[in-house]
Amino acid sequence: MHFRTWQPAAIARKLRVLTMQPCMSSTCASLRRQCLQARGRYVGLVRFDRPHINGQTASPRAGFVRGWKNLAGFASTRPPSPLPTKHPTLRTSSQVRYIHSFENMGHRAFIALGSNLGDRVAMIEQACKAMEASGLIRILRTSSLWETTAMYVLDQEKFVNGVCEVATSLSPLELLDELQSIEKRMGRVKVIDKGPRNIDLDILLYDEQTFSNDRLLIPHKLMLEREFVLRPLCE
Amino acid sequence: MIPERSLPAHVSLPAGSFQYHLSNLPPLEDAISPLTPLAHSLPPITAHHSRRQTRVMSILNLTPDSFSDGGKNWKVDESTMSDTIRSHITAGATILDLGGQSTRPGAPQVSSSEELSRVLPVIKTIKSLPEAKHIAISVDTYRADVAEQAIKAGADIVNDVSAGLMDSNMLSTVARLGCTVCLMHMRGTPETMNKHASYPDGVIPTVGRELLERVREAEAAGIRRWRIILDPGIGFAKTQEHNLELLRRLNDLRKYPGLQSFPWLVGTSRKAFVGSITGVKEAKDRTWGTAAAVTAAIQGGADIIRVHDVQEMGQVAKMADAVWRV
Repeated sequence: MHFRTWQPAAIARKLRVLTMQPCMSSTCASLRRQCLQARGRYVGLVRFDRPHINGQTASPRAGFVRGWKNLAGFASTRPPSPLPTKHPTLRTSSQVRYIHSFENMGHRAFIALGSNLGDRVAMIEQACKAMEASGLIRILRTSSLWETTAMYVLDQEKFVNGVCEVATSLSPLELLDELQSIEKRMGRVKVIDKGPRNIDLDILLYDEQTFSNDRLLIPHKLMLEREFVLRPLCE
Repeated sequence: MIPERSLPAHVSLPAGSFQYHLSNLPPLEDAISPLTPLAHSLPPITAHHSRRQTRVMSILNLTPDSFSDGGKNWKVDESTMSDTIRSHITAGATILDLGGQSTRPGAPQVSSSEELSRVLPVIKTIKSLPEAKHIAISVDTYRADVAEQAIKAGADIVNDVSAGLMDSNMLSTVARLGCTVCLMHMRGTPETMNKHASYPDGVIPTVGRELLERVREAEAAGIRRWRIILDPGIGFAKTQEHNLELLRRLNDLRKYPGLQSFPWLVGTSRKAFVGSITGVKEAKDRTWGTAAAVTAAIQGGADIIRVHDVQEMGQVAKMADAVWRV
C-alpha cells in the first residue's frame, strides 16, 4: 500500500502522526494491520474530519498517532479538550475524532474456536496468532481443546473446539469484522451451514452486553445447547 | 474459565450458571474429551476417552552416566543407534525420549553444547528412518537453548523435569516454538531435591497445587493450555511413601481442580523405590517391579508411560489397557 504523508509536516511532527490516508473503514483496518506489522505498537488512530491541506478544507483523513505526549500526555479513550492551539489546522476538537486506542483494550469477550478440516489444532493456533497479531485483540486465557463428533450435519470429521477470553478495544461489530477477516484470510469457504470448516471463530459473550442485528447476535444463540462450548467455558 | 457466570441479565435470556446448563445437557453418545497434540504424524492424546490406548515413551539415554543404563547408548555408531531405535519402535514405543544430561542426584552437569552434541545427531538418525515416520521425538532437557535447537532439528516435544524452574527462559522459549511440553513436578534441582521431600498437607494436594502454579506460569509465558502434559515426578523430591501414594491415588491427582483436562505422563521405570521394595539392587533388573508400577499407573489413568524396557512394558501396557481401558 502506498503511504502519502500529509502536509503540513509540522502537524505530523507535533502529533507524531505517521501516515495519513483518505478515511474509509477498510483503509483504516488495513492501515492498522500494516503499521503494526511494520513498526510496532501505536497508541491510536485519529480521524481528522475537516483537515486543511494547502489552505483548503479537504476530505476526512485518518492517521496513526504514536504518542499522546504532545497532546497533554493522556492515555484514555478520548482526545483532550481543548486541543493544543499551536496546531494551525486543528482549530476545534470536533476536527479530531478519536477512533481507537490500542492500549485501551477495555472490553472483554469470549470467543469460540472451532475446526474440523485439515490440521485442526494448527488452524486454531494460527487463528489465535492472527487475533494477537492484529494488535486489537489480546488473548487473556484459553480453555483446553476438546474433540467431539459433529453435532448437526453428521457426515463430517470430528471437531476440535475451545474458547478463549480476549481483551479488545473493538466494538462487537468491529470484532466480528476482524474475526471474519481472519477466517477469510485462512481460506474459510462457507459451503454448507454447520458443515465442515477449517476455522470457525464466533463471539459468545461481549462484556455483559446483548447485541442484535442481522449479522450478529450476542450472546451466541446456540451456546447453551452445545457441550463443545459449555465444557471449555466451564473449565 | 467461567463456570459460575451466566448469560447477561436480560428478560429474554435463560438464567442459571453455565455449569448448571452444562450439567443439564443430555449426555452425548460419543464422549467429549480434551485433546493434546503430540506431533503431526501421530494421533493426539484424548485424555478423557475411557478406551484410549496408553502411549509408550521409550527412554533413550545418550549419556555416559544415567542411573540404570549410562553408557549404553553413548558414542555408539549410527548403525547401532538405528538398530536400537528400530527395536524400540517395533516393541511399541510411539514417543522416543532423548536425554543428553542425566538428572540423577550427583550427575555432573555438562554444557549445553555437550548436551546438544549428544542429542542432535540422534534426532537426525531418527528422522532418517522410514520406520520412525509415525513416531514423536521428545527431548528430555531443562535447558532452553537445548530445547530450542532440538525442536528446530525436528524434535516434537520438550520434556522438562523442572517445569521451567531451572532455566528462566524455558517457558517463553517453548511458547515461541509452539511445541508440546511436559511439565514435571520437582523441587530444587537433582542435587538438592531429596532434601525437599516433605508434604505436610498431603502429597496429592501439594503436588496438585504446585503443578497448577507451573501451569499458570506456562500459560502466562504464552504456552497454549492444550500444549501441556503433566508428570507427577515420581522419584523427584519424594520419599518411597510419597511415590507409592502418587501411584495409588493418581486418579485423585488427575481430578485436582484446574488439572482435570490435562494428559499425564508417569515415569516409574527402574527407580530406587522399585528396587527397594522388590529387593533388586541392580537397576536394570527391576523389570518385574516396574511392570507392577506401570500397571498401577495405567489403572490410575496415566496417558503416557515412560520406560526403559520397551518390549516388556509394551506388553504390560497392552494387558493393563485391556483390563482398565474399556
